[in-house]
Amino acid sequence: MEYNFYKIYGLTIKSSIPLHDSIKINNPNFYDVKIDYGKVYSENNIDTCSIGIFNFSPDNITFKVRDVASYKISNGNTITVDTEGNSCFDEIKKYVLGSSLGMLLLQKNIVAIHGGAVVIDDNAIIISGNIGAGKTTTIANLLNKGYGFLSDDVSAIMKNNNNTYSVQPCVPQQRLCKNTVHILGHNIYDLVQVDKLKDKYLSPQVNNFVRSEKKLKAIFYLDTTDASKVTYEEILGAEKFKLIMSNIFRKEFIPNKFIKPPYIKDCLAIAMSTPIYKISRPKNKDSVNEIILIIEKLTKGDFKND
Amino acid sequence: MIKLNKINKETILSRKPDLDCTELDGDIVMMDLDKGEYFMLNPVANSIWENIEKPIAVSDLISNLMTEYEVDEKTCYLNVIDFLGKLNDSNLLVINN
Repeated sequence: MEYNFYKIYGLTIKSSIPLHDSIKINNPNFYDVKIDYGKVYSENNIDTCSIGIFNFSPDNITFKVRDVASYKISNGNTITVDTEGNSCFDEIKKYVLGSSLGMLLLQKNIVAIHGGAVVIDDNAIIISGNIGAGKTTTIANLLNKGYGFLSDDVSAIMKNNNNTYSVQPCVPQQRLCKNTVHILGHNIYDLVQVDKLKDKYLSPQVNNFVRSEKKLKAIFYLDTTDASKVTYEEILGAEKFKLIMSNIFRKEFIPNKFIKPPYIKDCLAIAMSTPIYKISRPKNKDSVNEIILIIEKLTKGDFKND
Repeated sequence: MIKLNKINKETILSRKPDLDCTELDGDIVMMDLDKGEYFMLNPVANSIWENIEKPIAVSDLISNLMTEYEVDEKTCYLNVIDFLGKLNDSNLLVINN
């Protein structure tokens, strides 16, 4: 079996499944996570909790994607992939880099927020938000302005020694919808279609990829509204904590008891130390430029509301 | 679990000790570290929470709140009983009747 080593979310990963060439590292002395093909059996014991396709037990999280593969994430250090028939390699890999690594972060008590991360002035900001609120378009436009890229869909937040928090780099690729592909001036035929259902395309190499962790400076939550212009407000108090908890990656599938106290405590500490802004944009109007201006102002300024 | 203790004005109660509390801009987030559950309190709820740190009769708690907030006794009583009921349902109270 041929293995390669990669750095993702600050973790050293040994994998027999090729993940992404540009984040390969030379043989390290140790690794945090091993990814391999193998058999995955469904667990059905008294401790198993199931929500949707995900099954949680104290040591393992398993899920099965029809016509693709079954995945088992164990003890925060092993991912096992059991492929089905003629499943397509890009599809298999998509669930390794997405849900599998996301669930592994949960097992390791590393907070993972559903949202991408961009670097502005050497600090990380997280762009989270409702489905269809414009996360991907906003991130793509920030990258077009030359800002750095850390992650597309999952932001892993780790505690530093001095009680501050940093966002870790993921993989230099972005999933774009057709509309964004055109806005960015890519040729759609150069990109790989990764999700036929949602019409998503993979931008395989992001130019401004940042390879080191960056201090978390702010979280932006995007939402749509019936109002006619873009507005923003700073979220305060327990609402900050609530917003972080409800935007944990795949939260809707995680039984409450599998979110452990250290994880919740980190969410609370992040809520205390990080400004969180909600930006609301009109539903049917392209307002990405206004959103970018607000994000730049709040990130580069002194965090005062007007 | 069936709650045998119904809370009324004579009930003497206090909050469950050893909860991890964090303040966020005046709101309080409490964590039950054993169960991994968390609860959020707004400033009024927080003031009740502070009042029940040591055992206190519900009638005294209501008097304390009425000096702190402009509220009539009936409204105060109904809201306090409702809130204490919720705390009790979440096993966050010690009732010493």
